[in-house]
Amino acid sequence: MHPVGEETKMSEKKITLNHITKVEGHAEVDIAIEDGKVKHAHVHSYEGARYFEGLIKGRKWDEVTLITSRICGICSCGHTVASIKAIEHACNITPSHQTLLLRELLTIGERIRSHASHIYFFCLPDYLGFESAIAMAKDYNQEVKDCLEIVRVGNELVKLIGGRDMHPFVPVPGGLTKVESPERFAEVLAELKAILPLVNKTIDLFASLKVPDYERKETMYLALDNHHSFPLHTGELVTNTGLRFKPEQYKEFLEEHFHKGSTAKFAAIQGKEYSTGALARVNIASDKLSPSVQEKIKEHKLEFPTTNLFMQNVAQALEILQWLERAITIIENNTFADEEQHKVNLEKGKEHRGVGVIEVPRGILFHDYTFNDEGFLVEANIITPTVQNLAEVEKDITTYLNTVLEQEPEKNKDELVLEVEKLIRAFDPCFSCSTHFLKVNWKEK
Amino acid sequence: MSEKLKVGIFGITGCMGCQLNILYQKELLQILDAIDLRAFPVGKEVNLENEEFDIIFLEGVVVNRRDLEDLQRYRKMTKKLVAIGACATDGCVPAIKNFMNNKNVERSVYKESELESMHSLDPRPIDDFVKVDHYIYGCPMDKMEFLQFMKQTLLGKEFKVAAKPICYECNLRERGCLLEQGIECMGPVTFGNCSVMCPLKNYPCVGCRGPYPDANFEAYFSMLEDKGVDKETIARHMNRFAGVKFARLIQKEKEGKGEEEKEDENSCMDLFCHVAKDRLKKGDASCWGGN
Repeated sequence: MHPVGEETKMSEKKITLNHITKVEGHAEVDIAIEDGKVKHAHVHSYEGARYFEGLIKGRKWDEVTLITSRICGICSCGHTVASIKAIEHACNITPSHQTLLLRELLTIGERIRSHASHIYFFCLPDYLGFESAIAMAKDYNQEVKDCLEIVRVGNELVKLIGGRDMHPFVPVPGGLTKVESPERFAEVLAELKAILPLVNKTIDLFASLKVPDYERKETMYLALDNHHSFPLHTGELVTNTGLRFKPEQYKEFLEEHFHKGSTAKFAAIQGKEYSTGALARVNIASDKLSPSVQEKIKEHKLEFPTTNLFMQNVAQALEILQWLERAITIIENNTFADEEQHKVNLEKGKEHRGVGVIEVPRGILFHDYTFNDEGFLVEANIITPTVQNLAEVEKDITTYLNTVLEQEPEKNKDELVLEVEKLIRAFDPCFSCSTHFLKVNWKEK
Repeated sequence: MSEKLKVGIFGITGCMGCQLNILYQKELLQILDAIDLRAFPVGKEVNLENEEFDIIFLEGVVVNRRDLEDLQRYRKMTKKLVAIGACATDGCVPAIKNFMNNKNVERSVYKESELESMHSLDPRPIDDFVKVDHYIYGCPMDKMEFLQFMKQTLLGKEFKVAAKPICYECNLRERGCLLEQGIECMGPVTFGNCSVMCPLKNYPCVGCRGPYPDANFEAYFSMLEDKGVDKETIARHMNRFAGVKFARLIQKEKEGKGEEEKEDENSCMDLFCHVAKDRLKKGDASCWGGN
């Protein structure tokens, strides 16, 4: 069992979860309960600071991506593409149509494996009553094998474009250093097609799980919108509350601020917390999902938009199908070949700023760089999805736990902790990624 | 059959990529069948600690005291400690900080008032503090090497990788030389056995597997300079994935030759290594407060 600390004073209960397992990175939660109500909930990462924005200062444009992809193992392709987009925007490079499609494939591969491993390995054991997918492997062998197969094929797609399955190096600003042969594309295409039934089964499985009956209606969602396709690499930023702004305007709308006396940075839009990720995307752009995904939604009588955060896992399952089909379509309709990389174009005596904003598995990722006229980086700002989601997680813990305490006051500490963990894992946070978190020592007043 | 190997997989500060690479291994179920996985917080809720492990795989770089305490605890818990990936083996990109002005780097990300609670120290590979029994190099760690290690260990054999530079494999595979094409490749000074995946895709070696111990750095640097690569660029490229280990090795080589006296600010080696003497001393850097 994970280390859990508890102190009880009269009607006060303090729960400390010292190491949340089955998430990416290291994080802790402190919750204070008083008179059967949650007084506050704090989530903080104790992942050591690595100072990425500082480390890339003084680097030349062609080596920045090499470093920023290391922010996160699980979404290194996302960081690579956002980083490249920011560099290209800054250095006046226009990538070719082929390059854009291949980058799309790269992040699709990552999306497939990230969602599959998250919902099967981290979330499903919570629902089926196992401590891990590993422990589940005996009784649910087929499910674990299905997951490993989907992850493997996602990896193959990443490898096909990126050169290896993590920290891809082939995609660079201006293009790709090498494009694989049509035969290799055909092989991966066959593998992608072969997992279609498994992905459909995945949706059936996750749509059939009984999720807690819980909503937080005031939740604000943020996603990219390009008016015609399901959000990935292009578009403006939109909220379900009617806001719309360009990626390079993000600083006017989005601020990182201090939260209730803690030293952790949290992102907010015009002072309000918001949520980004699979559920946000499906909520905002459900009309842009493919016909077969729409069909699945109908078949399982799912309703979007929903503010039930536990539906995040179902949204992720739906996204796997959405992107798998898209990858198949891209490969079927295109022939790819090596082409020359597009060149940088830096004006003398000028600073060059570029913003790269894309949807990664956990939500919107911002890379914002400024280069001098020789192509050396002078300023950088990176905002990861987990930084944006964390204020929401805290709100949700409080609201959800209050619902549970009201409906089932007899629940013991372990049961409450499991509920909180389930909720945090449903969010799919990545603490390795959230470079902006500080450890917060919570104290009883 | 004898008892299964008691294995733990842990991480300190890092990107988690190496641990995820284990989770993504298509041979995962076969591996799990063959071992007794007692702890793996990334993938399991129930994780045993404070008991005897046969092998602990550790990902991550030491950047603060919490990392150091965790590392020392893991070392005590296990018979064999295996460093997986460039963070653990060489410091990886977080260790670039050793070659920059600490304050400037930190202030690029956090305000002064926020920095107080960070307790950041100079990022170091784990063997600066504890004994490491095996290294699985690469960023991310090489999956094949991990698998080879598991197989050899399960067979009761010692896992060994012959020290050869990247160039050796490029030659075997008849991949033309990127350096000859004028591309700055770190192949000659980098530890091989990665199937040269980067050069095969027209991408130069960036040194993510750390130094090839018998590399001739002087010759490498002068070759790059002859090709017109400026010293600042060479120095910048050297410190990206294994700067700490590269700098120490070069410093040692220089000391061996008795060349320490004639330091030359303009030489590429000195430009890269100038921090080595005062900041990179193993274990006793002032910021770590002795030990």
